[in-house]
Amino acid sequence: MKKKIAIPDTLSRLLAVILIAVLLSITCPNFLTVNNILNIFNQASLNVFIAIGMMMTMLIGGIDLSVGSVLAISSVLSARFFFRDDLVSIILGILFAITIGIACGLVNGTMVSVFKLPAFLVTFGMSQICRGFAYLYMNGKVFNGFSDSFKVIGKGRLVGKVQMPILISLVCLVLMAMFLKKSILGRQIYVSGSNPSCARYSGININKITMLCYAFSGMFAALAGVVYVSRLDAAEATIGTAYANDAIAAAAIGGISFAGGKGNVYGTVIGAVLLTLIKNGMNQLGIATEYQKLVTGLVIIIAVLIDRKSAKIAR
Amino acid sequence: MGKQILKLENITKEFPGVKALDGVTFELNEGEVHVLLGENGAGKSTLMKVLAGVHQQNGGRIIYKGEEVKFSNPKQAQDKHIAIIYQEFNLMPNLTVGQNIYLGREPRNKYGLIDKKQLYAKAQEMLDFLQVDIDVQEQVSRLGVARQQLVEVAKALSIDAEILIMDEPTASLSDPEIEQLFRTIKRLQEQKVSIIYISHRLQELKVVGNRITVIRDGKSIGTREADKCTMDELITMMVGREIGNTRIRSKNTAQDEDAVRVEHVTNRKLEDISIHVRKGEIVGIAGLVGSGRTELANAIYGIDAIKSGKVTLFDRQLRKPSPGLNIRNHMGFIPESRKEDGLALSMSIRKNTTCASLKELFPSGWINEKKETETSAGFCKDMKLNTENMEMLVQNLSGGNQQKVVLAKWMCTDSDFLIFDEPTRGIDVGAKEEIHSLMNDLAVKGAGIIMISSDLPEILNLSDRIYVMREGRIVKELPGEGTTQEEIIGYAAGKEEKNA
Amino acid sequence: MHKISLALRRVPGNIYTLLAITLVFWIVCKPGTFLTGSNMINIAGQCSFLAIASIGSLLAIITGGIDLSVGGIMCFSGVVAAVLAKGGMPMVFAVPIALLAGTAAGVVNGLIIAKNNVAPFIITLAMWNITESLALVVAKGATVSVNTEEFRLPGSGELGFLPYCVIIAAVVYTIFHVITRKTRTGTYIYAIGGNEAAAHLTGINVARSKFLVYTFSGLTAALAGVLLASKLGSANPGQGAGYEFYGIASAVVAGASMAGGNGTVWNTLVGALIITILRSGLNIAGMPNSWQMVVLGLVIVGVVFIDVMSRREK
Repeated sequence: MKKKIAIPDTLSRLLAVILIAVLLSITCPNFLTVNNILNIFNQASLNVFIAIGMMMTMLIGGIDLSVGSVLAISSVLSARFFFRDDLVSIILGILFAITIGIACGLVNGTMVSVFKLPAFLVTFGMSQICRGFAYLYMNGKVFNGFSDSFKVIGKGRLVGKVQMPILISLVCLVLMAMFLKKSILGRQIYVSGSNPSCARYSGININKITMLCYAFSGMFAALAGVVYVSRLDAAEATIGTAYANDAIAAAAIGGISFAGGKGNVYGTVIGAVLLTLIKNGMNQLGIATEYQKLVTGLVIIIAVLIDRKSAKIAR
Repeated sequence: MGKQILKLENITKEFPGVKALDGVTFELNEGEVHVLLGENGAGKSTLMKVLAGVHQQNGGRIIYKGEEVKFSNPKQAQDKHIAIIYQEFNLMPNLTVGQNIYLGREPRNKYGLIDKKQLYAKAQEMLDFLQVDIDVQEQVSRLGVARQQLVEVAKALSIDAEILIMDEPTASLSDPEIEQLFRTIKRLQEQKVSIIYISHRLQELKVVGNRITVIRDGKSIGTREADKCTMDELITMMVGREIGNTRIRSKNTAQDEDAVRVEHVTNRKLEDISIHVRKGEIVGIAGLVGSGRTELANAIYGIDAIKSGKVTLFDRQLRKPSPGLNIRNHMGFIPESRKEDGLALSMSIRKNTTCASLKELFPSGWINEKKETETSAGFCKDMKLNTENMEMLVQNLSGGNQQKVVLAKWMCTDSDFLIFDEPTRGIDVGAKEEIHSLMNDLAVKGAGIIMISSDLPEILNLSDRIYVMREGRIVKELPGEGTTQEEIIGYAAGKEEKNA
Repeated sequence: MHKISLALRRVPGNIYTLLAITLVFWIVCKPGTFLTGSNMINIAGQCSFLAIASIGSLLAIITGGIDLSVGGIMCFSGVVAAVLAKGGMPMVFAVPIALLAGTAAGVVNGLIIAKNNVAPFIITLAMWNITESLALVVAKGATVSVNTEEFRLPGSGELGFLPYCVIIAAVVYTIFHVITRKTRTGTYIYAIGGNEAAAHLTGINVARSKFLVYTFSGLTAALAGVLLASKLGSANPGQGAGYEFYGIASAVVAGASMAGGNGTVWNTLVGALIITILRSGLNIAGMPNSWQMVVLGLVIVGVVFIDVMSRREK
């Protein structure tokens, strides 16, 4: 009945995650504990935010390499709001961070859509610029000692022991899934991604859609920044350098096509969880961290090749 | 005629789930132009791709010069001097004419490097033989469609083609260009080149072909001598029923009010265009390829910018026309190339039919899938689409059915003014008739219609008035009834001016 | 006069950018610091690594693809060379083995991309992860310093006043100029970028050409990585990072379109020079590192912006 949501692609990925989880729970005794499982989801949640944003840009055939730097700049600039134990200040801070993220995204989106520059270079340039400004602003400092109410975002637990980031990412996941599947804008994103020219002739304002997607990407990066700063109780200019890589990896493993127009939120989230699961498993098994990226790379290749095969069979 | 050079015997080809060819037999003599005729999806292109080594047959034999051959890739067919010119050209836009002609067979010097001098000299020879004036060092992207096709022919010649397959060669050519192509074909015939000519255009077949073979549903129906068969006979073989070729539009239903007025529109490609279309009227726009017909449509629709002049749609002048704004004002545009501009091929029929009218269907901004399915199923049924599964991906439909989805999409927008740009190109006779009657029905109901077409009988059979375009200008307005093809061609090609 | 103007029109646009940037730094920097012979040679030396690496980026871009593994392969091959040399292996063996190791990564890229028709972006991104990880494993997570004269020779030795690495870069550029412009393979690479489906139907072995492109890219990246390690006298698993971006930026700043089909080897050299001069000049002018990042980002986007706009005018 539910086959419309759980398309076979997503289902097979879910099975892969479960399979790895089962294998790990057999091999390491510490794996299958509530704490560890929650930890995995908690760790994955940051990547979930960023990967959902990344997916939005990939759906329209783009890419956003600036997420890590946008995360850094928005979190260091908004950090001052988070020292005071005052709800209004914190909310203002979060809004401020998100505004910066959206602004960066809109600049990216404008360059890509209105001026037709290659997304790869625009967002790479943006990442340099944002990172540079973050360094300039911080000048080597690290902000910490944020207020307790702010730390709730990253460290708080709700409904028993479930960490806040998991809940926040869950909410984002559901909202974005609904948005993409049920809203006109979501549909227009898919149409623009699978055939921009057709979208144009159908009266869809592609520039608007493109800007929207990049704005989403910036927004989610900023959101991830807030959660990150709250969790670590530290804001500095160097954070998030590897995040673009991880987010693209998650999206690719999750079956988001680089040609645009194909993929969904569930796949992306599964991709992010799968990556974290593997890292966690390797730690549990005592495999040196040096090998982590090796495995990440291999998993990406395997996932993409399997996708390719199944697409061929479907045809 | 010369001796037999090629025989295809009982060729079968299966794709997963489809039997594209089911025992086709086809013969070709030396120096002959043998026309392969059939509806869309009949298997013509597949058959030719088997011959050209792109596909491999599942059964049957290819006998070439008395020997059985099997090609596992295009290169092998090329090596046997079998060349194919596809409907979509296979030139590299970023390479020069010469590089394209000898692509894959560049002459090399003793160090194994490409000998550019020789390459361009040889390419020039080919073009000289065809008596065309094209610079071999010109980048292909700067040539027009007709000249690109001639480069394709030169490329085929350069492999000493003994068999040349031409798939719908006249699809995007204007009439004088077609005449030049026919002259080229005659020259090739004199050189004992055998030509397999695929086309939908019945009129030209008897001009260019020696024999005509009709295939239908992957089977060969029969072969006729071109000068001993009638058009009706061929059509009957193609579709298995008779079709009259008479004026479809019996009554002019034009009202007094204008649906659209275009006044003194000028931009990069257009010069001072003034036309108007009344409600309930079908206006044909004729002209050669490159005369600015599609550009005019794009300007009206808001795809291309207008430098000066104005467009008034239902008495409202839109300050900054865009497709979205036009759609909201009940205008629709069925673009020329359905695969590039009309459809999102990897999406379902449902999503394609509604994608231009989402805001009207779902004013809340949220999609109700049940309603969406019902709506699209309704319109697809009206279009006589032969599937009821709205979740089917459009890429799995045949050309005619894809065009029906495009039409369903625009019916869904409930437009009162529509532009049809080459609505029946590459579509079989049956579907063509259905589209014509649909356009007629729309006009009777009061919609204003612009029809751009290179198919003159279509223009003449359907239009109430006809504008002829040349070099970005409207050169003549003609009545729909009583006008002849010769008149239109005369204005389109600028015959009067040259004579004067 | 007419001949001169024709000749001027033939000069690739980015030469002017190069001259403009040089001029700016000549004015801005303290006299006798920027536009001196020794600094120019210094810049040429610095540029050679990026120039060599960006050939791989260019080739991938011409086919309409992309190679993100350049930086990773540089790290990997540099580390391999350093570890072998530290272990006492003579350079004549260590260098070819390091080159082979890097090329192998390119071969894997090529095989997967050519055989499966998957997006080069993601495969090379994966390979970037893999090679970086391998570099970490081989180096055991630390910097490998090799301070022998022999190891440092290719990167910092000089023939007369010319550094070896500049000579090597010149040779590599000449070879790839011939490959792209004078061989069938070169024509096919451009043809694939122009219209891949058509190239296939014309009988061009698309898979083979793509395979070669990524293999070449692996080779040039490996060479750049070994030279860089040799120049620095050490290799650490992070020292190639960023080169994949700067390589792509060099090619695109030099007028190659990311959509594929155009871009030339010599233009890319100019692109690499622009980026190197920019970085070196900003250093000499005393600009802090963080501002340099901002400026570099702006320049890359700016140059591409101008390029895209001017092309649209036509």
